[in-house]
Amino acid sequence: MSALRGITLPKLLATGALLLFGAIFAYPEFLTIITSLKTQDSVLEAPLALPSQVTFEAYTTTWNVLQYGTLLWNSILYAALGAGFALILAIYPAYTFSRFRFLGARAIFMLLLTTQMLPQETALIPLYDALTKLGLLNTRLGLILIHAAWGMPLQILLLTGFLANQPRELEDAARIDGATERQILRYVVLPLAAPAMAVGFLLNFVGIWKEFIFAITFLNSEAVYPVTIGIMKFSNSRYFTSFTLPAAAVVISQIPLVLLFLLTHRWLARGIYAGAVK
Amino acid sequence: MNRQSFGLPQLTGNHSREGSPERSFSRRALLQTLALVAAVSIPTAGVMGPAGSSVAAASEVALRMLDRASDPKQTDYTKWLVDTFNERHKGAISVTLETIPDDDYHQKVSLVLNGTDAPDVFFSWEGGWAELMVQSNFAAPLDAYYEKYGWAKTLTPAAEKLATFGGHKWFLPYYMSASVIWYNTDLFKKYDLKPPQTWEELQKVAETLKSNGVAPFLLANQQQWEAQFDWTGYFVNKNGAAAYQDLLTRKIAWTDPRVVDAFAQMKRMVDDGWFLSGVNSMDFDGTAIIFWKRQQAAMWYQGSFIMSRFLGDDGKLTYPVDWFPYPKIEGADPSVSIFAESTWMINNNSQHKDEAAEFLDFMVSKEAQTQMLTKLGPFPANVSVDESGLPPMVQRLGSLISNYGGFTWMHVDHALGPGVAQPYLEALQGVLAGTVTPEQAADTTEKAAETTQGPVVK
Amino acid sequence: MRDANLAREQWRELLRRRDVFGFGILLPVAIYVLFVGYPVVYTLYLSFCTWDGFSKVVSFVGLSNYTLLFQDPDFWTALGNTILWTIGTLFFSNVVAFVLAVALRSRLVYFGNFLRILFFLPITMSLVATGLMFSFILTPAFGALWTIAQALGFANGPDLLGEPSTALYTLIVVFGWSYIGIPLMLYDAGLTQIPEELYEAARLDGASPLQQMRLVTFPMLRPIFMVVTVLATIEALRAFDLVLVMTRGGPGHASDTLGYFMWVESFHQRHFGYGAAISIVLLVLSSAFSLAYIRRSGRDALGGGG
Repeated sequence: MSALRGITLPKLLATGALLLFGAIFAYPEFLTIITSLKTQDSVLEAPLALPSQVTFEAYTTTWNVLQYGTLLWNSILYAALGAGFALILAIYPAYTFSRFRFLGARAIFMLLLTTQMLPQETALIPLYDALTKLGLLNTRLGLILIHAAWGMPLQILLLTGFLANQPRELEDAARIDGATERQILRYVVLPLAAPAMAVGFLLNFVGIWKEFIFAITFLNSEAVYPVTIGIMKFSNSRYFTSFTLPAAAVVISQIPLVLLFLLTHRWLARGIYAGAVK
Repeated sequence: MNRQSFGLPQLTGNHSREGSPERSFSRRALLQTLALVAAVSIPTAGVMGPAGSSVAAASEVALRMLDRASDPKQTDYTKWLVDTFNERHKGAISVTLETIPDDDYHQKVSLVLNGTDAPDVFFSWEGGWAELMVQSNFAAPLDAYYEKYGWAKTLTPAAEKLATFGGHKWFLPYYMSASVIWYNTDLFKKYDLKPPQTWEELQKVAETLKSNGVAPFLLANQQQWEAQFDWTGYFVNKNGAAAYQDLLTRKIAWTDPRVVDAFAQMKRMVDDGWFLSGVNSMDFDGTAIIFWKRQQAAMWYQGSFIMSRFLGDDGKLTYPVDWFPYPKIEGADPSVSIFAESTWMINNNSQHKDEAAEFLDFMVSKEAQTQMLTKLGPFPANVSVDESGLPPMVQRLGSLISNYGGFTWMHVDHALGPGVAQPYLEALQGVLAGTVTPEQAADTTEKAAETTQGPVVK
Repeated sequence: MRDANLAREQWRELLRRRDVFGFGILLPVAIYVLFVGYPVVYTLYLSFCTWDGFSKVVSFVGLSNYTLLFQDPDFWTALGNTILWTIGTLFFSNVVAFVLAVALRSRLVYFGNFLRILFFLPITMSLVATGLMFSFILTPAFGALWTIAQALGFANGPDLLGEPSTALYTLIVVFGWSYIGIPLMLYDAGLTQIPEELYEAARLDGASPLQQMRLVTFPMLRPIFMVVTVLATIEALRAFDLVLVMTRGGPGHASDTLGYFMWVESFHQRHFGYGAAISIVLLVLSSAFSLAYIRRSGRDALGGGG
C-alpha cells in the first residue's frame, strides 16, 4: 500500500486528462504505424482498423527498392554537417554581437532575423544559379553549404541571446589573469554555452532532416538524395496509390530524430539556458 | 547585469593583440571544419556529380533524361528502359535518368532547362505546356525523326495529331489516355441499370442510384484538377467539340452563356447529390479509390490512366468495372477526349539530338511499349503492341484509341497551359464549394485568358 | 556629431580587434551574402520585372507588380491567412505548449517522460507525411472524425478540409500539432532551470500557485518565450507544405498562405515577377516583426546594448 500512498485524486485527474490528450495527440502517429504494418488490401477494406495480420512487407520493400540505407546516410550527412557547419559559423558573429557595441548592430541583427523568414521557394532560382557557377550543383557539398547558410542566422540569434545574458564575472577574471579573447571564448564562454549551442544544432538538424525543396532542386541523382525524396517517391500519384509504403518510409525516417531527441533531452533539460534563467 | 561602461570588454594585462599564437585559432578551426565537410562530402559524391561513378568512355555519348512522376511503378519501368537501352548501346550511348514528382516538376524544369546541364530528353505535357516549351525555344522540331523512324505509322493517329502544331511535330507521345465514364458493373446489375446513351438516360440512372443511397459519380477534387473532367465532358458533349475549340482559341469568350451554364451545371450536380459529399477534400491519389472499392459511388468520368487501379499486377481486373462514352446531350455529336498523358521532347539546345532520337525510338518500340503496358498499365501509343491478354473492356477502349480518326480534344489544363488553367481550376473548385458564383468563375477565367492569350477575336 | 564620432570609434575598435574580427566573421559574412543575400537582392530585382521563367527576356515594369498585387483580392486573402496562421502558431507554441510543459513538470502527473516523447513525435514527421495522414483521418465517410461523429449519433461528420470556412483553421491546428514538440522541449528545459528556492521564497511570502506562476515562472521564462516566439513566427510565415498537400489553397482560395500563393504564381502560373513581389511583401511583414522583436528584446539580445 505504501507505493500507492502518494496517489491522490488531483494527480489521477491530471494524469488522466493528459493521457487522454496524449492519446488523441498520438493518434495520427499511431495510425501511420499500424498502416505501415498492414497490406494494401486490408487498408482499402478497413482503413482505420488494427492489422489483422502484421506484415513487414512495406518495410522490406521500402528498404530495398529505395535503397533506404543510402538515403539515411545522406540525410545524416546533410543534417549533421549542415547544422554543424552553421553552428561553427555562428560562433564568432554571436560573440561579436553579444560583447561589442557598434553602430548598425541592431540593423544587421534585424536583417538576419528578417531574411530567416523568407520562404525557401523564393530563393530557388538564384541559388541554382550560384551553385551552377560554383560547380557545386548535384554535390553533397553544395547542399551542405546552402543548409549551413540558411541555418546560420537562426543559430546566431539563439547563441547571441544566450551569450548576452551570460554572467561576465568568469570572463573578467580570465581577462585579469591575462587570457586573450580567443582563449576566453574557447575555454570560458563556449563550454558554458554548450547547451544553447546544442539547442541551435538540434533545431537546425530537425529542419534539414525534413527539408526537401532544396534537395530536390539542387540534386539530380539517387546516390545523393536524402530520405525526404525517398518518401516522395513512394507517395501517391495520379497513377499509383499505396498507403503502406509511404507510411513505412515515414516511420523509418522518424527513428533517427527520435533517437537524437532521447539522447539530448536529459542533457538539454539540465543545462539549457543556464545563463538566461539565473 | 554586468555590463561594461564602454561596449568593448576591457583589456587588461599586456597580452598582444596581434601575432599571438592564438591568432590563427579561428582560422585554423574553420579551415579544419571546411576540410572535414569537404572530405566527407566530396569523395563519396564527386564534386561534379555522382554520375561519374560509371565513368563514360571517351567516345560514348552521355544523354541526360528528366522524367516526372516518380512512383515505384514508373521508376521500375523507366529503370528497365534506361538499363536495357544502355546495355544495347554500350560504348556508344549512355543515358542517365532523373525523376521528379509532378508537384516539383514545374519548378525543377524551369531551372534545369535554362541551366548549364540541361537534359537532352525531357518529359512534357501536351497542349498548352508544349506550346510554352516551343515558344521558349526548348523543344527541337522532330519532323525529321518522325520521317526517319516512321513514328507516324508506329503510333496511333491521335498521337501524331496531338504532336503537330504550328506546322511541325514537337513531341513524341508514349502514354495515351481516353476519358470515358467508368462504372461499377456490380452496382449496375444490382439496380438493373444499363449504360446510358443519352443525357436523359443518364439522369434516370442517377436517380435510381441516388434513391438506393449510392452516389452516381465519384469526384475527388482536392487537388483541383479533377472537376474539369466533368466540366469539359458536359460542355463538349452539350455544345459540340467545335464550340470548345472556339473557346480555347479565343473565338468565344469565357463569359459566354454556354460557359457560365457549364459552371452552373457543376454546381447543380453537387447540390442534387450527384457526387459523394466532400468533393473538395477527397484526395484523388489516395482516398478516392477506397470510396470506389466500397461501392459508394457507381460512376467515374476519368481518363483511362486510372485503369492501373482496377488492374492487378497480372493484368486481370480486380474491380467490377466497365466503361461507356459520355452520353450525348440534346443531339450534339458525342466525342471522346483522347489525349497524350505523357510525352517526350528533345531539348533544342542538346548537342546529341540524333542519339536522343535513337533513344526516343527505343521508347516507342513495340518491345518497350509492351513493357510499359505490363508495368504501368494501358495505353501505349504504339499500335502494334499486343493487347489481347487484357480484359475485353480494356481491349475495346484500346482499339477505340488506336483507331480514333475523329476530332479529339484535351481537358482545360492540358489544352491551355497553367496561365489560364490554374485560375480556371481554382474558380471551378470555388463554384463546387459555393463560394464563387458561375458568373464570377467565368469572369476570373476570362481575365486570365485575356492576360495570357489576348482578347477575343471574332 | 558626437554620435558619429562614437560610431566611428566603435567600428575602428572592432575592426582593430583582429583576435575577434577575422576569418571567423568574414567567412560567415561571405557565405551569408552569397547564399542568402544574393537571393534576396535577386528577388527584389525580379519583383520589378515580368518573366515567365523560360524566356531570356526579363522586362522591367517598375512598380506594376505591386500595384496589381494590392488590387488582387486573392493576395489579401493569403495575407490575412498568413497572419492568422502566425497567430495560431504562436498560440500553440506559447499557450498550449507552455501549459503542457508546466503540467508535465508539476509533479501532478505520472508518465511525464513517456508523454514528453509522445508530444515530441510529430515534429519528427515530415510535413508532407503529416498532411497525408491528416487528410486520411479527416476524410468524410470513413475517416476517424466522421466515424466518431456517427458513433455519437450524427448522420454526417464535418468535412473540415472541404468547407471554405473551416479549411484554414484545420490546417493551422494540424500545423500546431506538428510543431508543438519544439516549444514544449524548450519550455520544459527552461522550467527545470528555475531554482526551487525562488518558489519557496514566494510561498513564504504567501503567494498562491497562480501568483507564483506570475511572479517567478513568467519572468524566469521570458528569454525562452522570446526564442519560442521567433522560431514559431519563422515557421508560420513560411508555411507552405501543408497547404500544398492538404488543400492546395482551396476550396477556391480559402486556405491560401503567402508562401503557397507565391509558389503557385511563380512556378505554376509562371508569373515570376509577381511571385517575387509577394515574397518581398512577406519580407516586409517579417521585418516588421523583427523590428518589434528587437525593440522588445534588444537589451537582452544584444550584449553591447545599442
